[in-house]
Amino acid sequence: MKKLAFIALFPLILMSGEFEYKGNFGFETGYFHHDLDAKRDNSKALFLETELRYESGESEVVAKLKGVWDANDDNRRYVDFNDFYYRYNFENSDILIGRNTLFWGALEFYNFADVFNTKDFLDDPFDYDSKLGSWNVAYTYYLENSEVSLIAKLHEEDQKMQDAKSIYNFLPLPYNDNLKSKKRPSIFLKYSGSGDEVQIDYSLIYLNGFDENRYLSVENGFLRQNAYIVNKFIGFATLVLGDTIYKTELSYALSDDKKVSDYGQIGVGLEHTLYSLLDKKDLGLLVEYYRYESDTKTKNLFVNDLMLGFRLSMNDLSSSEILGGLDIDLDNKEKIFFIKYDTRLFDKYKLALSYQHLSPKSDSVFEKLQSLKLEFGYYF
Amino acid sequence: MKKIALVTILLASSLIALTNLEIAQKADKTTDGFKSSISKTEMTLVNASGQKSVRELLMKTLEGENGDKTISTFLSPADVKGTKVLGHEHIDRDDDQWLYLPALKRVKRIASRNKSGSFMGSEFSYEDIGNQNYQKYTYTGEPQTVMLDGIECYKGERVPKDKNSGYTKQISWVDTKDFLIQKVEYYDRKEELLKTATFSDYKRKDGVWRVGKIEMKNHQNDKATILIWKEDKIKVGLSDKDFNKRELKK
Repeated sequence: MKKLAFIALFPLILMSGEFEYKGNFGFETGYFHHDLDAKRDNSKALFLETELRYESGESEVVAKLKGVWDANDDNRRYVDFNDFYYRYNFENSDILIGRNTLFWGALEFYNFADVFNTKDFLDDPFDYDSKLGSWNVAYTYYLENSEVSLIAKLHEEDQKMQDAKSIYNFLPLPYNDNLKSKKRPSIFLKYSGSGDEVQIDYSLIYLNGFDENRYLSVENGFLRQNAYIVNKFIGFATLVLGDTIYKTELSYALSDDKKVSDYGQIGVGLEHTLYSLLDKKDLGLLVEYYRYESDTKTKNLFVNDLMLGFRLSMNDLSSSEILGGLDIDLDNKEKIFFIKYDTRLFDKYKLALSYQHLSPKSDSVFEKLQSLKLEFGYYF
Repeated sequence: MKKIALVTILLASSLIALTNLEIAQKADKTTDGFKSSISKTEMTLVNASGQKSVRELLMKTLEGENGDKTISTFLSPADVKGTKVLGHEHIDRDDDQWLYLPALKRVKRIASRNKSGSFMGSEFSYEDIGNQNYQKYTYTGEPQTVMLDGIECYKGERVPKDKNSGYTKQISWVDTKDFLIQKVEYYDRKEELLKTATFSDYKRKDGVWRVGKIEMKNHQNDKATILIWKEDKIKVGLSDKDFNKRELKK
């Protein structure tokens, strides 16, 4: 009887709130110029992203679906919900239960402070913003200019890879994507604030649980990821002085695993924008430096790296933008250059063209690698 | 006797004549007092060849003595739906501004000192969109009484106090009856006419005048932007709590 009453009332409950949706679908295609016979030189995929948001009173439910169908790579044929959560908003606080992604960090090219979610390697691994949702329970209390969050991440996500023929799979052996030792929750305590008189935003985070970084071990002829416990202290801040934005990220990890030493990371950067150049175009100039220090030899990507970049906003009808950058590994002189052009067509469509050139270090598996990609999407 | 009468008339007229500053104060007063507002606006960008592109925005504003607080949410185009800009204006220092990018779930503090940058690719600059408090300008010269499209107006000059302003001077037309701004000409750093804004479709709500349409014409690139208020509610009971960073993520 109660069930029947609920079913009868359910449409009324839904009608009492507000629905909102948005999304996009389209295709992406890429051509890769390289010297490895075993790797494909092209990729083609369809993609769909859609977000449904339902609000009723102080309650909110969000579901964000992502689907990919790759013409060549079976591993890239999937549908997933990276965001699927319920949030209740109290007067000065909120509680969230479910799976979601968060962004933590201040820098533009790479955010080592962004440790909450596992990176999604089924996408372009150079796209550091592509992440897997994490199941968690979070409580946030808001003060006038600051907030405190306590988050329990319930477990670690498996990190799937593109197939062995993809140029984005660098592994020398077959890969078992079942992560070892992932069952323990990770606890995050985060405090964020803003200055009253000074234009500064800052965050401090303490993590007791699994590190975002992992190491590989060989098991029965397969490579498998191992998660390890850390006590990690993270900070990041953004300061605006005049037309220049100064940014920093810092972290120090105390490892609980003998195979991983303690390590520290620092990143500093600045962004300066020149406005109204040549018929109201804005040119943002970016410089960032990353340093990683540990006792053991590590595979971390940003050990001693300098990034130089620019963002040219055309401020036209199509909101066209050109983003370019050069990452220089100061230790081994490896360089990655990229440039991306992004524009809107007929208000509903988006077109992106990007080019990437890798000048590898001497012991790299590649002698050369260039990629040219095109993305076209319809937005609703 | 005639001389005395003439002097008396001249004295009286000089006593009741308004200065540019007084006109600006009165113009401010006619649009002040809305306390807080929620508006849905449509911004149409027109390029030199007449092509158009429309953006829709939901704008919430909280009136403040030391500057307004605003939160603008993009409703269209679809690829930027949910992008938000939070602004806290300050009379005595640079404004605080944050941008929320929903695809990345990122809140970014942005620089606000340069006022001449384009707002959303439009012909409006951040300076044009912000609060036009009379205290932001110095006023020179005497106002003239002129006719503008059949409306009697005070024509006067004002100079932005902010050294980061994109303008060296502005000439404004304010109607003599209700003290509503009808037109503003903006002169660039080379002191050449850059843009003209035409204000229309004023409506009086609860004792406060609200503009319904602004057309900004750029004379140097032949582009234009038309801003229309589709919905506009005032005294809606918003408070400081509705204008903090928490609201960006909702």
